[in-house]
Amino acid sequence: MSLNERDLVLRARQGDVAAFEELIEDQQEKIYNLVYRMVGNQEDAMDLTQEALLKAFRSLKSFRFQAKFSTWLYRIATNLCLDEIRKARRRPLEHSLDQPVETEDGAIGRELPASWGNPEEHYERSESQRAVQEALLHLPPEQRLLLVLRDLQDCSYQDIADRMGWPLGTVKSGIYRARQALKQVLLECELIRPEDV
Amino acid sequence: MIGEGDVVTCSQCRSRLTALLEGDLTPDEASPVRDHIASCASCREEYGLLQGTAQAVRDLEPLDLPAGFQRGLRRRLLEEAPVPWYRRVHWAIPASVSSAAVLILVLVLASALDLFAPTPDLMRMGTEHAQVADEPSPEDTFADTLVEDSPRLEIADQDRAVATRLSAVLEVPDVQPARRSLSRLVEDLGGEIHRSAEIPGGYHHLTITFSQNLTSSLLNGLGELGRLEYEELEGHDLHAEYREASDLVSLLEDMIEIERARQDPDGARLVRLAEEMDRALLRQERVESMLNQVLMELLLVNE
Repeated sequence: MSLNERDLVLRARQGDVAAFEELIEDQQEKIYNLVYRMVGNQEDAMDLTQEALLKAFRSLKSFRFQAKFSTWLYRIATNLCLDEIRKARRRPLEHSLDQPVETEDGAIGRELPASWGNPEEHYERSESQRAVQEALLHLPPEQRLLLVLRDLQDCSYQDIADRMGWPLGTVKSGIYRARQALKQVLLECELIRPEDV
Repeated sequence: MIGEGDVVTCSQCRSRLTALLEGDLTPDEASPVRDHIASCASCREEYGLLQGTAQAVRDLEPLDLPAGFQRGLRRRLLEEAPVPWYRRVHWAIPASVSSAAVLILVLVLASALDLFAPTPDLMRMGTEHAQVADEPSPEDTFADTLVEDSPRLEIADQDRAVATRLSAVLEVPDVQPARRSLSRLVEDLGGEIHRSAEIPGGYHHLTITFSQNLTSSLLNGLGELGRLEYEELEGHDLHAEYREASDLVSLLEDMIEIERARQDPDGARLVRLAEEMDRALLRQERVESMLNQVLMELLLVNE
């Protein structure tokens, strides 16, 4: 842990919001992306990301400087995400994937990527992105999380193990099963085809 | 175990495809799997599908934070922010003085922080007062002052008994009369000038101890003698110690309540918790005591 990070944690523990914002500056967008891919819509992703960051802020006194701050933060976010998804399974879905989201800037479709190409490409890409996102949502949340961390956020097995607090072997076998499961869903939706490989 | 030159079956190949994709095989292990893929259409297709699956996830585009995210987060963080420790312990630098502040430095000394480590040689429970060294140094006197505030403590290393240091510059019309007025002021307030040294250039360097409760009175008095310049820097490690000590006491209170409800006839665990609580309270008291004491270094200069 860098001296600066340690100092920021100590300041944030005392309620220094600016110090906390500096601590999470490089992480919040990554965490938002992770959460978004886990829940599949902007509204829930925004709520859950903010909730995770607030939880981290409230729990700073339990941070013992034994791990990197980002690892600790990720663990809070992923655990919160998994908990919420499990809870959501027990209640009706509040948002469907094709329902537009009301924001301060008006109604927008879900799963809008950050940048777009030309309109035609945009359409194809957006359809493809939407379909892959929906395929991800068919997986059990733990498998979804493993693939997002590994394939989208480019985390090593060890990073994932640290962030999740899981044994390395569990991570490896989990990724194997998750990729097999997603392959089946993508095949069924014809998002990948044997004749194309 | 499969190595270079071995021939693998379809089943052996399939079980290694994810590892191959992940780059998790050694070159010797990867070689026969690659050879098999090159010669087996079915395994080649399976490998291609797995590659396509991983790529589909990799191709998901990064998303920007939604509009209003930062603003909403900041609002919620500010609602959550705890009250700073120095508000809770009534740190008393008057606003009227601090607004004109330029140069007071509040330094939490590294040596003082060592005191907070709960090591047996540093603090132990007891009813006796501190042992005073044969030839007390000015710091010893300061340490004694601290101990009087918390008589159950013994400070093993009194040279390190400085909690907070405040440095200030006081510009006065004439140093010598100001020096005498200052002595009277400090004495009236029950403080003590430990050291006084004349520095080349007509400066006087004074080391004064006083309790936190007298800080505002002293600063007001100094302000009447001349122009006082300072600014405050917080010692964050000390804040953390204060919070941790308080949190531990709260935690133990909860644990003791739970343990009492269990009505364990043996009660050994409750006794242990009570002992822990004694130590935690002592530590909390110690930190508070440290926070409530200030060592001031004052530089008197002619205007």
